[in-house]
Amino acid sequence: MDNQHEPTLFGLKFDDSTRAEIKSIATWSAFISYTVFGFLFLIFLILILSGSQIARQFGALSDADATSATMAGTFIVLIFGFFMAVLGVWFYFLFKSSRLFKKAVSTGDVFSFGEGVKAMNVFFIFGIVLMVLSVLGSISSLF
Amino acid sequence: MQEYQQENQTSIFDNGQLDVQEKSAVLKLSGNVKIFAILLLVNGVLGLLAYFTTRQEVIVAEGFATSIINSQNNIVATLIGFLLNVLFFYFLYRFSTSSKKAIEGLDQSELNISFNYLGTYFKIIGVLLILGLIIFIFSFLLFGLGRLVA
Repeated sequence: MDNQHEPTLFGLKFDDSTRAEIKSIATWSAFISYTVFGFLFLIFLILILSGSQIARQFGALSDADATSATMAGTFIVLIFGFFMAVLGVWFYFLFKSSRLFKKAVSTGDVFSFGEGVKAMNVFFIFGIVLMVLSVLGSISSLF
Repeated sequence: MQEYQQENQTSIFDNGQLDVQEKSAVLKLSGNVKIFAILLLVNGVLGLLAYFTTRQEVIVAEGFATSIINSQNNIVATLIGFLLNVLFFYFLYRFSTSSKKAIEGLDQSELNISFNYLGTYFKIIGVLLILGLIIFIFSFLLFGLGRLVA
C-alpha cells in the first residue's frame, strides 16, 4: 500500500530514471543560464564603465559632425544594451525552469515540475521569436 | 493486496488530479520545441546557402593567399554552424516526437527517453560553452602574456 503515497508525475511514477533525467536537464540548464548571466554581467560592466567612451570613439571614427556621430554611438550602445536585456530575460526562464526542476526532483513535487515545464515553454517561445528574426535576416541577406 | 500492488507498480499512468494540466504543459512544450527545431534547421540551411550564393570579395593587396585563408575560415565556420544546427535539430525533434508519443501512448519509458534527448541537447550546449570559456581564457592569457613580453 506504500505505493499509494509515492510521488507521481501527472499520474506516472516519479521513478529513479525519471528523476535522473530531469536532474540532468536541471543541472545543465542551470550551468548554461549561470554562464550567460556571467557573460551579461561582464558586458554590463563594460557598458557602464566605458559606454560613453565607446560612443565618443564611434563619433571620432565617423564622417558626420561630432554631435550627431556621438548620438549615433549612444544609440548603438543603447540598442546593444537592449539586446543584452532580451538575452537576460530569455535565459531567466531557463534558470527558473532549472530551479523548479531541481525542486521537483528533490521533493517529488509535481506542481514544481509543471511550473518548470511552463517556464521552459516560455524559454522556447522566446527562442522561436528570435529564430524567426534570424531566419528573416538570413533570407534578406540572400537577395 | 499483492494483486493491487503489482497492478500499481506496473501501471504507468493513473487518473491523478494534475493529469490533464501537466500533460497539456508537456504537449505544449513538445509542440514549441518542434517549431524551434525546424527553425534551427532552416536557419542552418539558409546559412549554408548564403555562403555559396554570396560572392566572395577578393583581397588583392597581399596576393591571393590572404583571400584563400579568409574563405577557408568562412567555410569551416559555416560548416561547423550547419552541423551544430543539424545536431540540435536531431535531439530537439526526437524530444518532441518522443514526448508526444509518450503522453499519447501513456508510456513512461518513452517519456524518460524523451527527457534524455532534451538533457543531451542542454549537455551539448553546456560542453560548447565550456570549450568557448576555455578558448576565451586561453586567448586572454596569451594576449596578456604577449603584451607583457612586448
